Amino acid sequence: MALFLSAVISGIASGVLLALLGFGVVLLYKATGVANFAQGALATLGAFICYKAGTALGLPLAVNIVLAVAATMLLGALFYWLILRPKDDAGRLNLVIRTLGLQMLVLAVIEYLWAAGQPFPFPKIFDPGAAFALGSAAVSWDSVAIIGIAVVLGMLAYLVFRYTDIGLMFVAMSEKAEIVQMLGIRTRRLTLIAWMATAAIATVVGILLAPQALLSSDMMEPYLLLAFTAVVIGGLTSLSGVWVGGIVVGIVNNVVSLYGTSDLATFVIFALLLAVLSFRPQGLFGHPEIERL
Amino acid sequence: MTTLDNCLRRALAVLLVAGMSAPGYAQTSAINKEGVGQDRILLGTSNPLTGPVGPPCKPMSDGHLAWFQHVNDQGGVHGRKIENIVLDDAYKAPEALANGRQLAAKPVFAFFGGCGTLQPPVLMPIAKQNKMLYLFPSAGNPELMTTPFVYSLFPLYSDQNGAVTAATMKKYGPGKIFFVVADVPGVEDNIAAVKAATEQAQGSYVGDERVTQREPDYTPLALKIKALKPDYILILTTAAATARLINALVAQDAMPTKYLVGTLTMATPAFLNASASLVNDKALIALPTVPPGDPRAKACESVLKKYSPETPVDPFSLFGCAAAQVFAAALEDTPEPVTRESFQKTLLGWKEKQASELMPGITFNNPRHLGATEMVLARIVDGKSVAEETFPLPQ
Repeated sequence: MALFLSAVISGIASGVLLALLGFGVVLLYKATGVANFAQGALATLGAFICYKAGTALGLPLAVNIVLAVAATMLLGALFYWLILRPKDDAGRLNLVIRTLGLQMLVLAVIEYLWAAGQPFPFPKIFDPGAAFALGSAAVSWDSVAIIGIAVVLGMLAYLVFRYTDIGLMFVAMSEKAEIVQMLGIRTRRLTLIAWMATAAIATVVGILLAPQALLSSDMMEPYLLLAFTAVVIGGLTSLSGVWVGGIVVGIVNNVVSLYGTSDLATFVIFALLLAVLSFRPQGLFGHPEIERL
Repeated sequence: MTTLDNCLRRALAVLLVAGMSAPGYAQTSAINKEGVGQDRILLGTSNPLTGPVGPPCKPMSDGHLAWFQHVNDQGGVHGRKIENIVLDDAYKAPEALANGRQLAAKPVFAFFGGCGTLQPPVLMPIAKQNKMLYLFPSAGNPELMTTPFVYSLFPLYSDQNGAVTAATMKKYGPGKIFFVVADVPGVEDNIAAVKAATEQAQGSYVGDERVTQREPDYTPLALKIKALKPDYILILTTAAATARLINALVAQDAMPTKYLVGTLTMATPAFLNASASLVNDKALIALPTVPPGDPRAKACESVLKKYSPETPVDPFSLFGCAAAQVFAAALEDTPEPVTRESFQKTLLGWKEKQASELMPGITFNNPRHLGATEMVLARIVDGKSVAEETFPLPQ
């Protein structure tokens, strides 16, 4: 039982990270209607910037984290201006493919500049040992801290979207972009802010993952498909559903891996993904999209 | 960008080779149809210099090149310089095929070295068709051991794992062992070898887990291992995956009661930088050569520093250097005229030949052409791997 509980708690921790990665995707989708496939590359970029700031400038980790978040927010804005903003009425598929291109571009630059000698040990943010024990199974500080950070970020997002003007404008834009435009709200500026926010969230995910996953240009690969699975299960349009989706994926992965194998876990997760896509395409918490014909 | 880089590299290599072959290239003589000239001998290598396995594989061919340069600067072997043409295949079969054909057309005396299991199935038919030799590839393909024109220095992983299991249990006592193994071709042979060695050492094989490079979380595996309380955990996967697994083992307080045991990926700078402090004095590694920093590695280390200063001194570059030393020693022992046949006779005539300071004595037996008879058992101490003793490989 203790083993099971430990697998569930570590599953929640890794699921929350998946959800955080997916949260950025949903945020941008709601704001722009585009699924951002570059989210993992942005996370990797943020973690590399944090690491390089530490090795080049010798500053404390906390300062490097702030620098990395700020830098990726600026880069997020730059990517929007250079890659997504031109001819942004070219259709959703066009824009989605641009995010795929952006992903490959960012990873190619990381490979070119920084990949030699990877993977790199990333400074530990939290104590690597156990925070507490459940019977014979340990719950690590990493798991506790990741869950805590995600709860704080989730609450923050809830408050922003519920009670602030900018949050309400985002919600309005995601629901009826044309009407928001007619009301004089500058939707492109909102989209720019969404790109900056999503880059910041990606950086937080990258920095939280890097100590365990080790810093490398491909460090996000194991997580990306699972994060998109979390998004689909929760609902591409649901900011709260992605948390449920992430936690479901995390727990299923860890519990099935513990009692079976990791291959079996992958099979179960993607079977779940196909089941959701087949029987509830909008996800557990998303709204079906209705179009006038 | 990678493709462009590859194209540029290939173009440069072709230009270099073309230039060297041009009539105006005064310093070299013509070569015969076996790739041997009066004052030079040609070797050809297809190796991943870029791509996913570029970082560990490139140092291997850098090691060859550095030692050959050193030999050539001393006047060559019996006045004959060793020219090693190295082409990048980026760990892609079509590229390796193109490289193999290009090298065979030179012609080269032999395919030499190369790193990874992808190239041998591509290069072996070309070597067979052109009656070439294929010398010292570092790969896990069982057919390399039994093909008449192939000679290996790098043991199969199944042999390495079985032998290191036996050696570890002999030295540190029999015990319970858990095996974490990359889910790649040959995994069944690896598991069978470790089970057999454990049984022979009167230990207990408590389980195994096949892992991929894309495991999102090693915590479940760490929990599974913790419940079994093994004395030894044997790990055969990449440096990054091993380091991630060890992070999870430490976080779950699931380290083995005796030792983590692994292969040369655990002696790479990538692994040691990431995990050395977590496994200090708790990890044993099976290596094909002595580890970096060992007094016997001094000659190769100084040659690498002189001729290839950007190459890391790691188990891969040292193995590349050792392979080049073995080739040079065999060339030295081969009577004139040097032919592929006379060279093979030299290799097959060796008994415990000390052809490289980095490796135990070399013997090639028919029909199994594995020259290495022993491996080095090293221990990770203070961020470095330190040689303890050698242990025998199955012949």
